[in-house]
Amino acid sequence: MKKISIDPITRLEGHGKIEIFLNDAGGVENCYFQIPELRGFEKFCEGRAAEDVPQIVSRICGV
Amino acid sequence: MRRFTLMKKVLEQLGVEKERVRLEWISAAEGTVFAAVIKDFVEKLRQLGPFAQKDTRCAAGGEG
Amino acid sequence: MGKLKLASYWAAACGGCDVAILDIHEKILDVAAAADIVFWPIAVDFKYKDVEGYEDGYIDVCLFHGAIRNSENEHIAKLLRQKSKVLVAFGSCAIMGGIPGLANFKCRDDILKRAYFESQSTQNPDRVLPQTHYKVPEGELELPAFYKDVKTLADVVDVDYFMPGCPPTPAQIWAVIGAIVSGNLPPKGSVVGASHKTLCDECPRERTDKKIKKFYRPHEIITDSSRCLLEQGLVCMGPVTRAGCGGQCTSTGFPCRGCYGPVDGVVDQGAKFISALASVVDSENPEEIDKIISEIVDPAGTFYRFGLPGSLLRRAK
Repeated sequence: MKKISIDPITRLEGHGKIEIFLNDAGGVENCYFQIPELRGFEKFCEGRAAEDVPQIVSRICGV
Repeated sequence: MRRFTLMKKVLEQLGVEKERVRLEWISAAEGTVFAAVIKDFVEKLRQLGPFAQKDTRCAAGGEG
Repeated sequence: MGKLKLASYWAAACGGCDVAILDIHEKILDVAAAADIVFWPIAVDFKYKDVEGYEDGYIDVCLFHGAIRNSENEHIAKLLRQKSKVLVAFGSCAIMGGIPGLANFKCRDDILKRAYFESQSTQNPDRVLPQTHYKVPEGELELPAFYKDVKTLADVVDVDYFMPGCPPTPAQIWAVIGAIVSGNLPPKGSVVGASHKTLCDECPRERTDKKIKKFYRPHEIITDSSRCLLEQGLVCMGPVTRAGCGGQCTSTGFPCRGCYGPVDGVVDQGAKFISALASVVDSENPEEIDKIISEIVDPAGTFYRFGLPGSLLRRAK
């Protein structure tokens, strides 16, 4: 089965890729959207001072 | 004292067990005290084992 | 000589560095006149495949933002190193790990568990975790491996220049781009786009005597806008932090968190700050010292706010 990879997807914030699988007729059999990134703000904000959290989470997305 | 107090707090957060850090005041005249403290500390460190081998961040103590 | 070939990439980053580049506003047109952009995911549509197709050294200058969090970040860092004549670690994350580097306080498994099982907005009844390889009926899918520790760019590749800041200021970026275009580059390994002094050296706030009996959290005190924040009891990293930001935080009354990294000659910013901060504690009494210091919330997370992966103790092995 033929595969088309769109990697990375561009002109947006963050990382992503799209894998498109084509069947023998050349039509789209299936398509997967993947996020190859995780930084873990959910975890590492634990233990930080509450007043510093706005300054930390503003770095989730700077766009 | 002030630096040591603050440093210990930071080291603990960085995962260095507090048993690994010790501050003693020993005069140059107190040779036997110096030897005893060093012997005692070396023994403690032996029991604790190498620092890098254990990931102190993991609650389960696993590989992380 | 043809036009300069410029690339910009984000690894574990937020995109703020890219936006900071765009914040040079209409001067971006001058950049476009002097340089061709050959890779910049946020702004132009080049793929990894295009970069792989370039000859080695094809890119004149690559501005690399973001920390090395996973195997894809490392792979692309190596690819861009190979394809670039000059590689710049751009921003706090690339230089010393930055905010994503705070993850080095935590265990990898706990991070994954929190993000994919426990967080309030997550619905994952089958408790699925990202897999590096995953078989689907049509073939196989791949995802990068999530590393145990966040690394800096210099941990995985050779870096030519370091441009600090979270993010670097547009004025400094413009100055550095000017230097690149004119070929007027400092010796390899230099810190560019920043000062060689500390933030305190450039801070307009009035300093007298630093003697602290109590540390305050921002909501516990109304600060005097003309006086040094540290002298008023706020934990401010100015004494050990490289200047260059223009005091954006301190001028608004928020203490410095050290995003420009350590000043020249300092190896470990947090360790240096332990020394600097402890020396202003105004007491000789152990119990009182203990009490004053215990009022500092999260000292390690504050002193290593932007630099944990680059620090001596939590440097990725």
